[in-house]
Amino acid sequence: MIRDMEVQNNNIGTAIQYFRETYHISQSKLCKGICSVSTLSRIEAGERNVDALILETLLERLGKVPHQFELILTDFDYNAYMCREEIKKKINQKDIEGARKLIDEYDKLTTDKGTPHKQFTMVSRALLNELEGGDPRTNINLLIEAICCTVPDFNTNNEITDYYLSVTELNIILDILQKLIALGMDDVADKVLNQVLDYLYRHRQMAHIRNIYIKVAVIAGNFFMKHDKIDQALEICDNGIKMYKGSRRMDYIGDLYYIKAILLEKKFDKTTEWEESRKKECLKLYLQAYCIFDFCGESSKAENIRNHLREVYEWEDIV
Amino acid sequence: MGRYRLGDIIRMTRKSLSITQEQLSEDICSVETLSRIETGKQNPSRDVYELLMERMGRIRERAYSILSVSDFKVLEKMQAFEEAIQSYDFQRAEKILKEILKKQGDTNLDKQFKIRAVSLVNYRLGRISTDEFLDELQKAIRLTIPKYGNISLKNWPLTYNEANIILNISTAYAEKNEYQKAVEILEEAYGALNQSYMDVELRNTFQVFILNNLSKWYGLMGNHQKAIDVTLQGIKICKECKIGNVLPNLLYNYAWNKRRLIDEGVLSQEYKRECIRAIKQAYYISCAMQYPYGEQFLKQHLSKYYNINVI
Repeated sequence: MIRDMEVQNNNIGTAIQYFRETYHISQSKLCKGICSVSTLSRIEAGERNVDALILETLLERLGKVPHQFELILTDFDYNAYMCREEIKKKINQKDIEGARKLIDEYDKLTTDKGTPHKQFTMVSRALLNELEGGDPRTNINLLIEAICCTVPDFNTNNEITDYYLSVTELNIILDILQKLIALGMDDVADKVLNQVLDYLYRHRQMAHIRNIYIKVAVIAGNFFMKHDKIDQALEICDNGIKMYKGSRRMDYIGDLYYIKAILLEKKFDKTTEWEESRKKECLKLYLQAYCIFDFCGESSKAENIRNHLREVYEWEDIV
Repeated sequence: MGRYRLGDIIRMTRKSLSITQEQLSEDICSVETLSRIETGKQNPSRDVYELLMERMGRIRERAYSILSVSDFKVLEKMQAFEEAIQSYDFQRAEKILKEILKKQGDTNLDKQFKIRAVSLVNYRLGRISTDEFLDELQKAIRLTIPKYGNISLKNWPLTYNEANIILNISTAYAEKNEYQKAVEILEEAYGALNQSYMDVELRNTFQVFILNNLSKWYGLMGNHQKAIDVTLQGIKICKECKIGNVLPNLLYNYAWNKRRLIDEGVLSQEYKRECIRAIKQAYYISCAMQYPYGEQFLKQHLSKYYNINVI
């Protein structure tokens, strides 16, 4: 049996080429910001001497989880991997000095090894800055520098349309977005948000976009609500809820129902359309959100809903 | 077929030679490292990998680079197959299966997947009996665990495929009303899952699924207290990992078993409030997860047994 598997052994390049062609993605779009087209050609042709993080990033851009594709690592890849894990651990433990030292080491170790490494370094520095309680603007700049490693056009006018982005890359952009909103830099945030929404819409058929979309719907729903764009906010909530169907996980979904309930209230309360059935719909959304928050231990959010239902709906019979 | 990986290969080779992790790893890497490699938590360096394979007498170059994409063309279809099965859409499952079989290879693992998938679809579509289904499943599991039935699986690191087969075997016994046997198999599989090489999220989902079935079988055997304990264990995992798909079932099983204990006079009437709370939670979470069947069922249940109307 073991022998069987070895004979069937495939090359990761074949997988990249297969998925790329299945999704009709050109070589130049897939590797933009990561490696040259000729390097990607060599990878697809079976060249083995390629940095493991570059391979992982390419797979991730195709929506694949890198650990589905196990690699045997060269000494360099192995050390780099161990160092990344160690940095994450130090940051988790809030060991600022330890993390800083390792990040500097990692930076030196991976100079000229490719943009994904640089990106990892910059993201880690941003996390470190946050741990130290540094200036939020510096934090945003570090994250922008991080995303520009593999998406250089982000710097010019936040242009991401020409890329296929990995979940890691999208999450960096969402981090920037959330930090911009938190700082009240709404004009820039608005631009980034629209870029992201446009990107997600155009890539909606890719499986990994679904999970990201729900997170974005929560951010966008709140943002639009803040700017009184009620219909726009409602639309994105509904899309998020639709996308959520079939998911196993409960993250973000409580927030999504919560926002939708508030939006419906804002739109219809004190109008002639605030009918019994509409009121019921709102109440049900609140109760769904409440149950999720309550179950997942997000007690302050649950408490808010509880109070709101008592005051506005005279609803005592909460679950 | 499917999800065998580097760690699987090292582990299965080691098991087939009956050597321990300590023996294999000596002077190559630490036991902890080997264990992490076998369970997929860490990729091995090339040196370590080659030394391990060499110690076990395997040709090392052949498995170089990447090992789990031999089937990448059907990997996505296999996921679609499992999803169809889980949503009881057996017609769709059969259609997907036909496409998979066209492209499938001929290894033992391919055969294992095929036997299970074909018999599962045939059973669910009423073409074969429970006993025939059981026979096929046992044939499938013995392809990779030849002594299945005679050895304990408690410490056996199950693959995704093996875990699926064992769950099916347990369900088949339960459908023959042999709950005791069904429970024994699941208890063993639960222990084995902790050893297995699966990504954490998939393993948690499996565990919750097993606990849900266990609580059902224990409840049907009349062992309500045990059933309640098991649901609580499942609910705890759901909470920690924010898994929602089996949660309404677990909450319902919890309430159902509590209610039995109340009706038997073991628990006082006061506990009815807990039952109501659990079922209401189950109802609203079903709505949130967009399970119309669960929503309908729980709504009727609340109205019929507790005289409560929910929105």
